[in-house]
This record gives sequence, C-alpha cells and structure tokens, in this order.
Amino acid sequence: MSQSIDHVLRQLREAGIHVSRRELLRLAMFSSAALVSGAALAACGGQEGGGAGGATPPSGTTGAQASPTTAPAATPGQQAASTPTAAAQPRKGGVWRMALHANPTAYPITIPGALADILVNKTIYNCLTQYQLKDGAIEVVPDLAESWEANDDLTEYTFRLKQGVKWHDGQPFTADDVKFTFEAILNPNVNAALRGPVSSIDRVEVVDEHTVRFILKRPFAPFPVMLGYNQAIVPKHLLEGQDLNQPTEFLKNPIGTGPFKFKEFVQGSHLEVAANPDFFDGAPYLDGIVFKVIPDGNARVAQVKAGEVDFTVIEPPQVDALKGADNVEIREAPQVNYYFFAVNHTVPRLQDVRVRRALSHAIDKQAIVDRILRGYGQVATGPINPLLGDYYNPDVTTYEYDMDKAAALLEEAGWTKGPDGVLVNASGERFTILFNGPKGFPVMEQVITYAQQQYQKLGIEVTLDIVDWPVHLEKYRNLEYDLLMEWWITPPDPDLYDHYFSESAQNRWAYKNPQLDELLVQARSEADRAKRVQLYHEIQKLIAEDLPVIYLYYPRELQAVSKRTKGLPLIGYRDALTWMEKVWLEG
Amino acid sequence: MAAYVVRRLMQAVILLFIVSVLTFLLIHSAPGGPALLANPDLSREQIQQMTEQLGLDDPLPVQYARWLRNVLRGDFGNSYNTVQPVTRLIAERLPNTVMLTGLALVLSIAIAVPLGVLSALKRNSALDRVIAGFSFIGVSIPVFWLGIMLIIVFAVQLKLLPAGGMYTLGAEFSLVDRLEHLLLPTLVLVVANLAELTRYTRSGMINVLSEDYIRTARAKGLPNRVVLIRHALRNALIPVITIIGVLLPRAVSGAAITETVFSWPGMGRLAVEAAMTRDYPVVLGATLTVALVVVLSSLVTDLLYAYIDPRIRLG
Repeated sequence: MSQSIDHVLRQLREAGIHVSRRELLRLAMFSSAALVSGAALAACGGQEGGGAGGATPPSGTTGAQASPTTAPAATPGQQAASTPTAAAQPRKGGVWRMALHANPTAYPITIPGALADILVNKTIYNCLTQYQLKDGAIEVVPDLAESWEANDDLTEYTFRLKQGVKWHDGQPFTADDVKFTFEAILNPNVNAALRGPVSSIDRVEVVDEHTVRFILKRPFAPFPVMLGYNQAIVPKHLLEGQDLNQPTEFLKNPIGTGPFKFKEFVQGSHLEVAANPDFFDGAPYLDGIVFKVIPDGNARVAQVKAGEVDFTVIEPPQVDALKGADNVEIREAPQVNYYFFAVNHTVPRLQDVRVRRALSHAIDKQAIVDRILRGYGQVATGPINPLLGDYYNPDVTTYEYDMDKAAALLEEAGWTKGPDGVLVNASGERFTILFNGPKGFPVMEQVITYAQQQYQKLGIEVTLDIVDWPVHLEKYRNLEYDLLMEWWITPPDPDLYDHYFSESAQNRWAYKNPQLDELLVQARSEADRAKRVQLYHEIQKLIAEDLPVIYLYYPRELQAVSKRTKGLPLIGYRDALTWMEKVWLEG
Repeated sequence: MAAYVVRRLMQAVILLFIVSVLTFLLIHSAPGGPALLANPDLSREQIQQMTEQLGLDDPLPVQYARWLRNVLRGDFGNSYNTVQPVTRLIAERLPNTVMLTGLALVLSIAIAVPLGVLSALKRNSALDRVIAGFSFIGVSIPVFWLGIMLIIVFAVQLKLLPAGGMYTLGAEFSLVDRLEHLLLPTLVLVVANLAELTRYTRSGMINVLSEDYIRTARAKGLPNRVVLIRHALRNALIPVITIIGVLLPRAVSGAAITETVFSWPGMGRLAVEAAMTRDYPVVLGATLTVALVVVLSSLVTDLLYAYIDPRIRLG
C-alpha cells in the first residue's frame, strides 16, 4: 500500500503537482476508488510527458485538432489500478456478475443495437477509441489505437495501432483487421446496425501492419469519437469469407482482443467470459464476468439485494426497494442522453412555432425531474448534454412552466376554446393530439399521462396511444403520431446532423430548417475546436428558439452495485464496461 | 388399436399443418414487424434491405411455402434476434421447462389426488372446507406476486434459497444445488395447479361414491379400502386424467410468468419473448413444438381412458 502511494506521489510530482503524502492518503481515505483515480487524472491534466508509465492522453483528442496526438504510454484506466484506493489494494480473483434484461449475442457487426449485445461485447472486443469522464465531461481516449492524426481539412485520419495486441486465439491483431471490420460495417449487404456513426468513411487503407488510414467522404470532426461508439474490431482471419449476417460458426466461439474471453453462453440463462491473461493493457483482476439474463425488473432488484448479482441498472421507482440493503450501493452515473416529446412536423397545427412553445410551457419539467425521476436527472435545455463540457450552452431560451403563457401563445396562433372547451381554429378544426409512447416503461408512461392532463387543461383533446415497443418504433418511423415520447442516447460529441439535418434518414420528425442545416454541416466540418464550440452554441440557441421537439430532461443512469465491487468508473455502464480490466472484488 | 394410433397420428399431421398456417397468419398480422427491424439506429434504406434479405417483402403465401419447404427438410430457420438455429434454441430450452413443469405436475398430482379423495370422503367436514379454502387461495394468488414474495422472503430476507436461475453459476453440478433452485418456482406452479386438480378429484370421487356399483361392492362386504381404491378411485380418475391431459402441454409450453420471475431459461419465456419481438421463426418453431405435444398428450390421454375404463373402446 505505502509503496503504491509513493508511486502515485512520484507520478504526480513528475507532472508538476505537489501534494504531500498525508494529503494523498486523506484523499484516498475519503474517496471511492473511482473518485481518487478521477482526481489523480484531473490533476495530471495532460501536462505529463510519459514518465513512469502513467501518461494520460492530452485533453482534446477529439480529433478537432489537426496536430498529431502524442502517444500515451498507457491508458488512464491503468492509473486507476495503480492508484491506492480507499481501504485496500486491488485483489485478484473472483467472478463479477451483472444482470442483463435479455439474451446477448457476442457479435458486434450486425445484431447490436440490442443493448445486451453491446454490453457483453465491451468486455470481449475493443474499439479503436473509448471514453472516460474527466472534470464532469466525457472525452475520447485511445483503446486499440495508440494515437491518431488528421489532415488539415479533416478528410483523412491516420491511426497508429497498439503493437503486440493478440486475438484470443493467439493471432496478431493488425491494420488488416481494422480495414476488414469497417468494410464489413459499410458493406451494403451486411446488416450493420451501427453503420450511421461511421457512414462518413469513403475507404480504409492499410498503411503498414500497425497504421491504418481512413479517407472520408467529407470533413468530419467527431470521427475519433464515432470510432469508440460500439465500433468493435473483429478478426479478419476468422470472419473472412463467412456469411457476415449469420456467422453461426464464429458465434460458437467468438474471438476478440478484449480483457475477457468468451467462455460459454447458455440461452436464457447466462453468458460467461473468462479473464484474458494476455490482454494488451494488463491482465484483469477478475477471473471472469457472468452476464445473467434476468428479464424481470423486480427480480433483478431482488437478486442484487440477495447478493446474487453485483450490478444492475434500475429505474427511479425501484430506489426505495433497495434502501436499507447494506450490501448495495446506488450510484448516479452521467450519460449522454435526453428525453423529449417528438413533434410530427407534417401536422400543420404543429408547424407553428408558437404552438410548440405553448406545448413546452405547459409542462413543468422540474416537477417531472423531482417527482417522477425522484431527482435523478436535470431539466433539458436542448439536445446537447452538459456532459459535453464547453460545447453545452446553458444560455438559451428556456420554457419555464407557465400555463397562462401557454394559453396565450395558443390564442395568438389562432386557437380559441369552442363551446365544449376544446380549442378550435378559424376553419373549425379541433386541436387534437395523438400521443404515442412505448408500453412497459413506467417513467415514460407517467410523464405522458401528466402531459395529457396538462394539455387537456389547455383545451387540447389528447388521445393516448401506448403500444408495444416494435409498434411504437414503427409508428415513429412512419410519422404516425402527433406527439411521441422518445430519447436519444448519442456518442459524446455535439454533432446533431443525423437527427436534425433536413434530409438525414434519422430525422424522425420531418423537421426542416435550412438555417440550421447550414450550421450543422459547418460545425461538423470545423477543424478549430474553439470555432466549433462557438458554432454549437449558436446551433443550441437556434434550436431553443425554433423548438423542433419538446425537450424534457437529461436522465442520470441509476446503478445498483454490490459494495464489494471496486474500481468501476462512475460513468454510464455502456462506457464503464470498457474498463472492466480495472475492476476487482473486495475479499 | 395400432390402426387407431396410426389414424390419430395422420390426423395429427393435418392438425399441425393447420396450426402452422394459423400461427403464421397471426404472428404476421400482429402490428409492428420484427423488433430486429425496429432498431432506431437503422436507416430507412437499411430496413428496406434487411426486409428483402429476410424475404419479408414477399407475399405471405410465398413466405409460408418457403418456410414449409425448409421445415420439411428439417430446417426451422434461424432466430432473427440471436442468429441461432431455432431447433437448437428449442432443444436447449425444452429440457429446462420439462424439468420444472414436470416436477411441478408430478408433485401437484401427488398432493392433489389424496387431498381430493380426502375431501370427498369427509365431504362438508371442517377438513373439506380447509382444503377448499386453500385451493381457492392458491388459484386466486397471481403467480408473479407469489413468485416475487417467495423470492423476497426466502432469498432476500432469510437467504436460504437462490433468487433465480437454474444452478449456481460457476459451481460444479450438484443435485442439492439444482433442487434448491427448483424449489421456489416449483412451489409457485404447484400452488397454481393444486386447486384445479383437487376440485376435480373431489367431485369425481363424490359422483362415483354415489354410484350403484359402490353400494354393491359395500353390500358384498368388501373391505372399505378395496372399495375406495379398486372401485371408486379408479373410476374417479377419469376426469382427473382429462385435466392432466390439459396440464401436460402446459408442462411443455412452459410457464412464462414463473420462468420470467425466476429467470428460468424455459420454453415459456422463449415463446413469449419471441412473440414480443416478432421473431417469426422462433414463434413458429415453439408453437409447433407445443402443438405436437398437445396432439400427442391427447392421444396418450385417450389411450389411458381405455386402460382405466374398459367400457371405452378405441377404434
């Protein structure tokens, strides 16, 4: 223990930060493992040159810079491991058990999109980049990549890959695998679910065994971020020539580069992975991870309480059930996610911005956060999450709860109450809203029911359409709704093109705003970070004014974690799972 | 007898065909389409393309004919969600369900038949009322509630039994461990089955006890035990066998709710989850499997009738 304290002290001093041994110890005593490592990271900042093996990647490796990114000697997670934490030294051994809601498939090319697949694949495979939380903002750091650089107009990215990385079957990982993976994802005959984030790629060139170059169709600043968004690299030597949509042979024993190797999958029961002692970033502490399939939400809570699983995410209403369980800690993890009422812009009465503003004024978002989310969230001001650091612009038009203002705006837009209390316009059209939502999401159902009551108070006739998940998404896709509740979890980059650009396939609301379109293209092509921040501030102002959808809240992810779990970064579990080699279990 | 069985089996084939057509029509007319295609990350073009790849843009009769042709070759297709062959999914899940629901069925019979007989013999006594009371409670408790309550009491509070799953993961196979995992879900299923079986046994027994041949048997001076078991119970079991014939397919179709609450990887969950996500090949495969068992168990039931009641002639 004292030895590693000294080690950290040395590292910090090399970075030009002077803390006394006592201060560090005190810090360690009062903070959880994640906090200490986070503090140490924050302290290191990016000044450190690569001393005793603890260099952090410089901040701002988002690729917005054209300058080469220095090669970090190690990923920051390693510091979490070498950092002495609260009470004990990381201990080897033990199996960590995590609850999944559905069967996973350990194949990252086609099926993901299903959350269970994404989670499991984080431990078996690696992307070129990954994310970590620093100073309350999410940043992109290397994973299989060692460093990267872009040309001046952001149309070419060259990635240097880590050397000596091996697939679980012992074959070397090379640039050919990277090329193969992205060509598979972009192949129109492959049903790649996550093609969107890398659709900017025109072609991939192998420069040498450990260098790969991406030539893009257009300037694209967030490219390195997108490569960390579930874009796991798969082995060419096993998948070449296979049916990439149904690789039944490969699925019997999926092979990755990750800290854990596939061990077994029992349908409907569990998927188990075992430690990969040859992992390029150091052998994991855990012997393995078991992903238990527990479809019922109450059963997941019961199992974490009974000590049969170490991790599950929960919904705000389930917090009470876990109060008083002394073996479980409830953590609030930030996530890049916002909830909103989608607005169908093909419906004439919703095309009037005054109507959309009225619909926003009528909703008490703070009350939703306080009462329905039980405080585990924050009122949303727009589509860009505060986790994106200086990209987030809090200084935009907001729509505070004000029913009088809402009523006045509707009247201004030509809607007056008819004899039966329902709003009608000059041509006698009644103001009706078909409000769609998915079945089986208690929080969303509560929010929709609340909104229905609020809108009815204004004289709007609201019909609820709460339907099964696939039906909900089909209606969303086909614009068969007036309002619809949904959320977007996005990569940690402010790029809004996919969801807001008029002609984008993912613009689900038929929203068209030429002024915004222009800014969106400009912002995603901007190489200078400061200018890019400025552009996104402008975009957020414009969006807040025009209100394409009704923004509700940024939720926080609620994690029920066994107290014996140590070293799990406090970040959304999709990203925390990329750091599983650092997690250990207390005796 | 053999001719009868052959004829019944041929009827079964026709029946299975009809079931498959109906299932096919029903699942395809359910709104929403496969969840695979409902992924919000997919673009419209990709969805179009995947629809074509899966052959979902063909007219329904074409799709059905293609499915049937493959089935006749023994290929039930792959699950949309997990890419695994449907036959393998079912082969993995079926034994789990049979273990759970089979044990529950055997236990239910072992408990319910004696209780029913007892109720019938001591008709309207305090004991009869107590048994009736418990039966009604058992049939009225929602399965998911009972399951969660049992988990909270025995797994969370007392920490005596596991909260779910089939076995302790990572541990060597042990019978004790398996039984511990079976105990709570079996209990839930037995409680749910018990009422039906007890009531049927009781009413069957009461009917039989008032028959002339029982009076005759008693008049002959046969010992009470012989009268009850040889003459009464055997005849009273006919309606009970009917009920078991109904319960048997349930043992294969699984108990979706119980399996969900106890994270038991059985057929019920497979079928329900496939239906929810519109995983057409799995829905069809699971439904046909259950249909096959229904047909076979009704055949077995009929054969059992003939064995128990010589008045029934098959043919």
